Amino acid sequence: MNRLIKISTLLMALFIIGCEDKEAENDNMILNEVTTDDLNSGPYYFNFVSGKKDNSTWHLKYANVDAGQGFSMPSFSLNNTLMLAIDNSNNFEDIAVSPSTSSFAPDGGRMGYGGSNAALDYNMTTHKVTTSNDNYIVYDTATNKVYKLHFDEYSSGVVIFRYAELAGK
Amino acid sequence: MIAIINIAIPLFSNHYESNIKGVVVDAESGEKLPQVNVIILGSEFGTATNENGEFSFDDFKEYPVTIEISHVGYKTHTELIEEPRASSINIILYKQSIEMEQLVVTGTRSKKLYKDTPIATEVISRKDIENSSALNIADLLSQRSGVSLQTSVEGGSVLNVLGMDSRYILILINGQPITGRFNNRVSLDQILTDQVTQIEIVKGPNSSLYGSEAMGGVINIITTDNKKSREINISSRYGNTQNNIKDYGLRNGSGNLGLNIVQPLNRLVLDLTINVEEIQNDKSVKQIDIDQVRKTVFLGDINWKLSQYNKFSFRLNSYDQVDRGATKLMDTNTNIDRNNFSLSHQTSYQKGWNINQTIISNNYSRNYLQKRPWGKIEKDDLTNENHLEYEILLNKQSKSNEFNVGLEVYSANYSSDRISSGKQEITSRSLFGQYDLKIENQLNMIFGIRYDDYSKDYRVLSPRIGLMYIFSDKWKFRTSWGKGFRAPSFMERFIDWNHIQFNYLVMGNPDLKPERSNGFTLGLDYNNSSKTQMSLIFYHTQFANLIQDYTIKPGLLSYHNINTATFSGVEFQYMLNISDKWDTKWGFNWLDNRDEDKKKIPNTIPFSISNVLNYKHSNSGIYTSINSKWVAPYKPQEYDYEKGVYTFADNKINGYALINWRTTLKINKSIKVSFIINNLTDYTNKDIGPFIGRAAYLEFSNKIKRG
Repeated sequence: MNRLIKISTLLMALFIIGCEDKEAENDNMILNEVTTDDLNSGPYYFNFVSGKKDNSTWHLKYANVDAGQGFSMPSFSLNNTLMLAIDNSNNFEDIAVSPSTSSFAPDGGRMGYGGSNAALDYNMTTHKVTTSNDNYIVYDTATNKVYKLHFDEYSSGVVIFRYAELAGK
Repeated sequence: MIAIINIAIPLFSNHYESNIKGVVVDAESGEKLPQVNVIILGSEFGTATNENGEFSFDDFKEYPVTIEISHVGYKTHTELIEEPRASSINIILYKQSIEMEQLVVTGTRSKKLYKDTPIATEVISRKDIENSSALNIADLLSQRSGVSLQTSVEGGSVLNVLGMDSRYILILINGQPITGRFNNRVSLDQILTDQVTQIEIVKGPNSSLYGSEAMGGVINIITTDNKKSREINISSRYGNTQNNIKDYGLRNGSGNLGLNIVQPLNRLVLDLTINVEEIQNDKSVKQIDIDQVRKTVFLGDINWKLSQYNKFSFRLNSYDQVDRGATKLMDTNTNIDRNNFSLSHQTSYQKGWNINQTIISNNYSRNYLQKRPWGKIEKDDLTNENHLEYEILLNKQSKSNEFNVGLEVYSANYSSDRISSGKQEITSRSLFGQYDLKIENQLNMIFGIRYDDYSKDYRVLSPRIGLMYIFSDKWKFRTSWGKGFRAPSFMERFIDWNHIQFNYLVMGNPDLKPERSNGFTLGLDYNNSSKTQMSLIFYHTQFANLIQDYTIKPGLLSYHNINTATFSGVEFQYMLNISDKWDTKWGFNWLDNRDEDKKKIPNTIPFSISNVLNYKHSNSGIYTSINSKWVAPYKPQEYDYEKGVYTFADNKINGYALINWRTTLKINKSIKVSFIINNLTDYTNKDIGPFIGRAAYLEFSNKIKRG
């Protein structure tokens, strides 16, 4: 009986430790929240590695683009060294591992104004700019690092986004 | 003459020796009814009840007699009196489910029974308002067929009435235009239904009476109730539109508290109302990106009857709204203040002459503050609008005709950070006249004309003719033709705003001409006692010189007069008193609105149906109303900035139904409790509304009346 209790306790402990490890893995992921500058004061460039605004070595660009007829619209784009994948099958917070390499493709304007996965959408009916619900996964071919990225809020030229580096590429 | 009276009085008193006296009360509320007509059938004798609902005939002798008691909105009652009675007779009057003899004022600018006015008028009665469960006028109107919400190029939602942008419909409160337009439109959600006694809708151009903005129709919101006895009314409502009330608690949702006190003081009557509505962390405010709204309304009426021929009325209406919102990126605060004062003097002279003079002062201010959580102020826009108006109206009434002539002098100034020079002014003088002629109780005609002189900018002449032909007691035909206009707004003429975010500049056009309309209505009414009422109306209005925004060159927008459009529609309304317990109202609306190329205009709902089903069980005090509306599929509009025009949105709005349910339990003579579920089908549309899904409310009201 004692043996049975001991084995059960051991299995239980292993199970708990196993769970803790997995949770710890997610807990260890640092989710960074970034508030951009006001677009009206000029384009904004961001570097995921340094986690800072960087006009020379950048991964993410936030700028007004020409939308025709003299109008300009706020738009995000990625540097040419980055590839993009979309993961909407998981909650943003739950994404912990990089998808397979075949999932990635060049941005090709997908993330920009009017793109198929535009980060910012100008609603022609309500005349409001809203952020996309898409979960963006970006792969930097120069550093071989993968980041998840989500745009949370837009307000008068300023955007809040969150990002974190993913494990295993 | 005195000699004849001296001879007649003794003769009369010798013939009738006994008294007939009684008191008339409302069946539902038990309130004593003043101004009720009481006549002795088969005689020439008649009287009206006094302020305590009492009547009497002195020295009456010949029995049995039958007296007939009648009052507007009540079923006529007859009472056989077989012998003299020492005690007072208690007469109970029951309200008509279908009000046949409503008093209306909007179509002619003088109070008349609807059956006598040649201008077709749709009336939303106090009973309709209570049954609707709507808290504000926007909600109330959007329940009706032919009315919908739309979005504007400037953002936000605006009401679309009969397929027309609401800026072409003149909105009045007690016959006076409302100040404080945002994006050139009055926000009807700022007018709470709690204070409204009746709403009148007149379709077609009506500038001959009201001047600017009465292009497609007039909606007159009437709050005066002429209460004469002392009373206190308290009402409150709590609602929660969150998905799960349990998780959010009472701190979220919407609450409304209203208090009305009426106090007669000799010849003065004070009628004071305060209403506070607060909405916080509720879907209804989240959809407009704010967290909290507080609306406070104060309404004060002082009526002073100096003598039978002289009456003063003082009215104060104060509205304050504070909206607050906070996100990680922006804190917003909008403060809207509107104050309206009016002082009227009414004098009656012999031979049916009346003079009304009114001074009106309206002030409106709107402050919009955008502040970053880190302290930077992004916007601090202040808009101020002040109106001052004097009007004098001369009225002469006789049995077969009525004559009105009036003069209005108006001055307005507008200051805003978004207009050139920061401040602009406009003055106008208007002269109008109207002649109402009745020919042999079958034909009633009305002729009206108005001349508006706007400073040195433009002058407008607006005529109107109306006609009513009475075929029989049951059938009436009404038709009217008229012209309307809308003076360009301050913003359209003087806006100077750089939209930095999207890199465009909007400049006003000071040379804009007034928008014009020319239209007619044809209507047929059927009344079958208090059982059935039907009305069919066709309206057709042509708009010219419509003001539209356009792209002058890349990045520069302005306004110009270019468009013409035609708005046509048919509306059929049917009211049926099924039994003492059940009654129903149906509304059917067809619209066919076309632009100058004969193409359909976006946002036009081609067909909609509304229905109200009321049930009352007076014995148990249970009242239930179901309001429903079905809207046929249509395409909303959006602004194509590349082409500079409004186009059909890509996505069609599918047909949808909205159903509101309300049950009221009358606990006793004073206390009522209501349970309300709005939008039972839980239909929402995140782009054009309705934005709020299924929502439940609990309402309580207590009415204490003395005297």
